[in-house]
Amino acid sequence: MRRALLMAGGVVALAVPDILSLGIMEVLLISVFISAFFLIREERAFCLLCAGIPSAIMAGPVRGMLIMILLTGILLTEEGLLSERRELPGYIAFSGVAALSALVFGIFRHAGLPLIIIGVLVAGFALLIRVSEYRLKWRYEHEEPEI
Amino acid sequence: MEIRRPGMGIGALIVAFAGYSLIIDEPAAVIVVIVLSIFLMYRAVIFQRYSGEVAASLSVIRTVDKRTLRQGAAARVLSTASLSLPPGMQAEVCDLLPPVAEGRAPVYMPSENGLSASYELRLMAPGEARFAGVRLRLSDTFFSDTILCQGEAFRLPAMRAIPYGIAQDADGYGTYGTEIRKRGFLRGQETYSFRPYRRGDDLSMVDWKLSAKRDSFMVREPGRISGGSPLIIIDLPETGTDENSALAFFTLVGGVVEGALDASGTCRVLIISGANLITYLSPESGRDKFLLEMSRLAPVVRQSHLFRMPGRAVMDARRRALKGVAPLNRILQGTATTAFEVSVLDAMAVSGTGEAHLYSIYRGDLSHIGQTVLAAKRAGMRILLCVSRHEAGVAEKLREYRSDGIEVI
Repeated sequence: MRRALLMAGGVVALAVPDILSLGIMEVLLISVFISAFFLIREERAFCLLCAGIPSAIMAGPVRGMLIMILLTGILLTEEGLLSERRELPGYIAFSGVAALSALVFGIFRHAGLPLIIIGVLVAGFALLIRVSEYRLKWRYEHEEPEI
Repeated sequence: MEIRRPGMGIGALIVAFAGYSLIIDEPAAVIVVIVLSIFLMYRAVIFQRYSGEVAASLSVIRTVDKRTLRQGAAARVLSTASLSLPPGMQAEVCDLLPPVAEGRAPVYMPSENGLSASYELRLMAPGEARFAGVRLRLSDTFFSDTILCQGEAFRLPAMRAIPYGIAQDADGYGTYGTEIRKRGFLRGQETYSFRPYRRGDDLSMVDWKLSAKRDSFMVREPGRISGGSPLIIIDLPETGTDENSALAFFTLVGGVVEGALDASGTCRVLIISGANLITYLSPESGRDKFLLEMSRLAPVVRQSHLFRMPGRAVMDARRRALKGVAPLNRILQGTATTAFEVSVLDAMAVSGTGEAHLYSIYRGDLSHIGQTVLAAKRAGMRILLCVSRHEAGVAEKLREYRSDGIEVI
């Protein structure tokens, strides 16, 4: 909970960098996220992600990317998937790759091309995962377990 | 790999914001799509890696109360699994039954020894059957998958179903080795099986009708002369028997089986423990299998006990009745009183020999000895009770079982 609270604080801080120039829209969006964080109990992790995304879009590409990384961190913490130290390197690697990709795709001025590229990458990755899954299943269907 | 509800939710968000960014042409929405897509890929990789780890850590120990059982009879299975689960992963383990088995294997539930499941199954076809493995269902928040573990270690133990009720019905179809046990009116005329004619066979044993039907010479194999070595029945001692006696007994029966293998190349062994059938080793099992099974002999926990033996007068009366003509035997065979007696009778019928040697240390409840002797009589077999010379004192006590002889070895 403490870790999730820290991350939520990070989300709020990134969404509202300058309290003096705060518009009504920013106030509304951030209050939706804060309300969701303190009030929602059922399906909490997914609701927090949904509540935080509008703030990320409102914050712009760079701060938005950081907010998204924090939101996924909250999601994982709420689901108990960041409870052990061995989980952290994976999450840090994901954060690094996500930040790098966001910076690379940030050079495009329009949405079309980056979406096509990410679509192709996701399709290629899905194929790789399928092959790896097939190999794993084949191995346990035909071979002895390692002892 | 299947995607679960939260994963699908993230997928829906990706599609929704991809559409939004295309319509509005908003770069920040593209960033959302990119981060969420990479997040799903990262979780897929983690799930895949953890699945491999869990599958590698899975070990299953399965025990069945009867490894040799009558076709259609129920056997109780107790399976215990151990595995190590990474955080956020859930696993469901379930046995895959032998293809010829009827029953429902439940999902393993947590117990003091890890995960375990207890259930009943019935082998509906005769012959050897193995479990088809274990189904491991894994899931985390975003993905789930099913892995079938079907290596040899997950398929043990092998079970054997003894055919039931086909002996009198078969009509000589099939090739060599078909067990049909055609009964004749007089004792000694029963046909145990048919086999193709071999040079030197007595022509009077050719079954002309079947030969004409199959267009090749088929020879009857009488019950009395089929087989060669006697059926060796090993009665394993119960857990708690003193170690020296058990060791001496296992050495004795190991030597007997090895001797039979040396003499005729094969033998038939029925392993029981009290009123529990453990396994039946047919002549086709091969020398290595026999020796392996002999090396594995150990005292067992007896699951069921008879504590019930016909009295001396009843035994004598039944024996006198059994000395009558063959049709009477057929009627009496249907009056076998216990499941143990029925199973032993079937195993004896399948063995196809005319003689059985029973080896036991003869301690504790001996009611199953009486039942086995009676079953042998019903099957028309001679039965010898074999006693180790270290236990020679019980030989006198064994006379009341009315076997065909007591041999001190």
